[in-house]
Amino acid sequence: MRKIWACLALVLGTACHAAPQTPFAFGVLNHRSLQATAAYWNPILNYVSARSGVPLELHIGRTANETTDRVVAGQLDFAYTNHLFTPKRDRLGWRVLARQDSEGIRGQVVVLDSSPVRTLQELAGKTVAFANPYGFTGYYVPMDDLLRAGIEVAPLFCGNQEAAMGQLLSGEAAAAGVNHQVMASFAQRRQMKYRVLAESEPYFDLAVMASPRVSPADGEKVRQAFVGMSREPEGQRVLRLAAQSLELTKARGFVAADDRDYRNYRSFFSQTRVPVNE
Amino acid sequence: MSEQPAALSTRYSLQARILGAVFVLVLAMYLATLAVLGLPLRDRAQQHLNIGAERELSAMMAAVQDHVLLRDYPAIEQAIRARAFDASILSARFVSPKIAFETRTPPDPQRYPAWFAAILDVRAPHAQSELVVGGTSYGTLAIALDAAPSVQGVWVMAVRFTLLAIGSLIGVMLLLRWHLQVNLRGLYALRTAARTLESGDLSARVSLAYSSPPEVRETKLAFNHMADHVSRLVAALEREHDELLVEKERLRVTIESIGDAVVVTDAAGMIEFLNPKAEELTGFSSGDAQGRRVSEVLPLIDEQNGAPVAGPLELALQRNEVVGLDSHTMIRRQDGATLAISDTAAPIRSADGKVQGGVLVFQDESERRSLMQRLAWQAERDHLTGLLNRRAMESKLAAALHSVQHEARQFIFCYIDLDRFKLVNDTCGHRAGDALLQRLSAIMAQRVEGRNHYLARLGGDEFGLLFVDTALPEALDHIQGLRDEISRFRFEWDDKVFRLGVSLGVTELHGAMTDIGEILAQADTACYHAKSVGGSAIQVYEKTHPALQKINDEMQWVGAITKAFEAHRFALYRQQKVALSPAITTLHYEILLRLRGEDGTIISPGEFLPAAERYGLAPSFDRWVVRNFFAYLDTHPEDEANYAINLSGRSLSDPGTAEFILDEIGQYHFDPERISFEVTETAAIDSLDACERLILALQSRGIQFALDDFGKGQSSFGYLKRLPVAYLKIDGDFVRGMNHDREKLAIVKAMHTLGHELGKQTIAEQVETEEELACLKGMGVDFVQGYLLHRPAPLPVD
Repeated sequence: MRKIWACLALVLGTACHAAPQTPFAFGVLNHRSLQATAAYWNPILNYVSARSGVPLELHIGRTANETTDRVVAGQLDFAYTNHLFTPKRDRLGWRVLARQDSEGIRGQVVVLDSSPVRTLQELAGKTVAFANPYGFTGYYVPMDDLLRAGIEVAPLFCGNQEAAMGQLLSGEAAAAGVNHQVMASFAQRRQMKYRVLAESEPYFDLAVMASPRVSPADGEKVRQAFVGMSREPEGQRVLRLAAQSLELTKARGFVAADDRDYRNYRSFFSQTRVPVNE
Repeated sequence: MSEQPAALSTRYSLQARILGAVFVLVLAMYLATLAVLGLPLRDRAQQHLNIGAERELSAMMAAVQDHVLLRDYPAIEQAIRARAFDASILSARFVSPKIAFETRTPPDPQRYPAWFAAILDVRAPHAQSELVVGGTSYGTLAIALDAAPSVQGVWVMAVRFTLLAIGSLIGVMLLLRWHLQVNLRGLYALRTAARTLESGDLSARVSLAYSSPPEVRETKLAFNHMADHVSRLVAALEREHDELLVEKERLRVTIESIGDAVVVTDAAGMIEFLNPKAEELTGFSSGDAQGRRVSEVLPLIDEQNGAPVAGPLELALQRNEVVGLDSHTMIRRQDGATLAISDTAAPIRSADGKVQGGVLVFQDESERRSLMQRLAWQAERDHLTGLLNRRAMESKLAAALHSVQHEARQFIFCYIDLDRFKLVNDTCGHRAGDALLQRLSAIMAQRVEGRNHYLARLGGDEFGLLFVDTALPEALDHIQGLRDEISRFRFEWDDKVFRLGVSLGVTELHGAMTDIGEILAQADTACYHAKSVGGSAIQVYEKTHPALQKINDEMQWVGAITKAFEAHRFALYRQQKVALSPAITTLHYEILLRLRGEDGTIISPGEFLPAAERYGLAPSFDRWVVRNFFAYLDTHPEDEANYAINLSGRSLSDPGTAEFILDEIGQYHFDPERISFEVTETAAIDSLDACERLILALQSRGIQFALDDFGKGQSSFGYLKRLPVAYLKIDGDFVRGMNHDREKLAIVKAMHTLGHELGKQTIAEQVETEEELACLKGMGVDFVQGYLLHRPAPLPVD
């Protein structure tokens, strides 16, 4: 009987091995346009797929929220996101595999350098641009700062962070709630001077997370492949290529991470005065 | 074959030709433009379709890219369908590892003809592209574009271009047609005017009122000038035609009326026309003669031998020149009669000299030829006696002398001078004298009749008889018989009976004689001698005969006088005629002629004048005197005297004397009334008629005449009535000794009285004594002249 199961398993295993493997859906919380997101992530995912032997296929939602909705709906296997640390989504059981090798991101409330607004208080009643009502540093963190400061503003959701920065630049908004990295990159690119009215503690940037249905082995392979990119020439080339597609001055690799690295996220959401959209 | 193109070339109007040429040109340009622009257009359409396909593919790719990235396959299909529906896309197909679908849309319905699409040959473009983002292929998108809209666009463009070309062509043609109509209006006006002119309306002109191009306007002006010229030419031609008709009618009437016969033939010599005179002379009517040869109608024969003569018309036609007929030609008429004619034949030539026909003009010469014969006869005959005249005799003598000089022949010439013939004239008048001469001529002619001798009247009562081939004795026998018969002849006239004698001088012609003058001189000399011995004598000229020698001496004067003339040894003298009336203050002179001998001695005219007069030199003296004296008067205006010049009897009878004197007067400027001429009474009576004519002719210029030696003649008084002289110059024989000869005194007195009674002034000459002068003064004579009063002296020439 064991031999029969063994043979069946071999046959099925061979059959399964012979058939093309269905790629895992790798969702990316798109802070940028679809094109830019695809241009950045496709080379990385191709590299990781090749190195890990775990086929990954990029899946992007029209908005970050839609991507998160797909996660919630169970349509994705991997995700590069920081939306899954809210209490409700935390219960979905997704685990952290790796993160970008950066110092972490901060949420900022910024105004144009030429703006007469000097303090958060002066923003009372004014329009403040945000990426969307789901963004961590792009909404929750700066909005939490404003609310904790007791300032009521008129939020203006612009779809993503650069759009919110565009509204600030055009004068449609008096201030913007932004990710400090994205803001610095945008300001450098557009020769824009701005002033930071409030800034949060640092949070690690988005994490490469795996669905609970991804086996630990596949998860580990993927983690190792991400982490090993910055050590291999091919991985470095792919990282540079990806960075160039976004006109980033520095290519960042990935480092191994786990849920512990994102405790402050979970802590923030348990204390924030901003109503959490889940 | 060549007529057809010519017909084609004249079938179409100028307007049709220009319009046709422009139509073909524009059409060719349209086709060329279509070819030049059409081919690149087709390529451009194909290129445009290809680019369109690429563009549609890019657009569709852009439309589906986000959906592809989102892997939103329904949205991809919807976007492709929507795009394919909106654009002219026949099919669009998207293939990815997970999905493959295709959408097709029906092509646009064709609104252009299939042949156009076939010609255009535009292919439906395909384009495909693979969507790769970040090195990941999301799938391949392929589209096929519908070519119909592009073909339709080209078709619309072609139709519009064609319509534009047709519109332009029509516009150009209409504009050109209008332009041609406007500009050719002048040409049509020219055509109308030309046709009007052609139909005979010479007043047709082209109006210059409306504007025309310069060329047409110049042509119009030229046409009008030409029409003016043609009008003038036609008017001139009509005028000339009318004149020609008149001329023709005049010629017809003339030809039918003229006395000349006219025959007109064609170039072959066939008769076309006879005028009435020609009909009359030939006996043919013009109709009968028509078509016949001239020789049939006008057979010519020689007058002398009757032989046929070649017709001049045939010669004229052959030679193409005028041909006259021999003067001895006659025609033989149809009735057999002959007619002397003279004719001229001439060819009728066209302007280029070609002979078109001939004309023969002939006259009836019968009368003229008869008249000519009579004139020829009269030319050598004496009209009174019918004998040969002096000129004929001189001709015979010349021929005889020539014969003697060249042949051994004998000729005797006899000079016959009637004695006492003047008595008959003086007593019974000239009619009697003429009758006498006729009778005697008949007697003499009768004696030489049938013999080869020539009898001629040499002048007045002088005759000449030339014996041909006759020896002197035989001739003398004949001459004696003649003398005797004349001696026996009795002439009765008005109960008067006259017996005449005859003096005969004979000479024999010989080869040593130089001219007929010598013959005449010898015979005359002999006759003169015969007359000098009493008449009715015969004297044969002998060179050694003393009496003849003397006469011969006179003849020597002839040579001497001739030499003197050549040596200018004659001189003019003058002798005054003194007026006895104190009322006459003007001096009067008589011009006298003197001969200066070779030794310088002055020779009086008494010595040389008789010889000069006898041998016919007196007229030469007269003319010399007149010419030189008139020159004297002209060069000496200070000399205002009146002058009288002597004229010899020969000059009186010379009919050219009056004309000579008047011509000479005409050359100078003196008053001719200062001139008078003196003629001897005997000379005047001998040439009474001529003298009368001369006096009357010169009197018309105020020139007077004096009758010299008046009283010397035998019947002076009877002639005074006929001679309108102003002076009577009483002969010196009566003047000399009149103071002691009562008879002379009575005669002079009678002559003077008679002269005055007849209104003439008297002049007494040769007055040599005071007594004679006293008598004349007592008598009342007007002028006296003589040695007593003035001796002849040379003219006071410088």
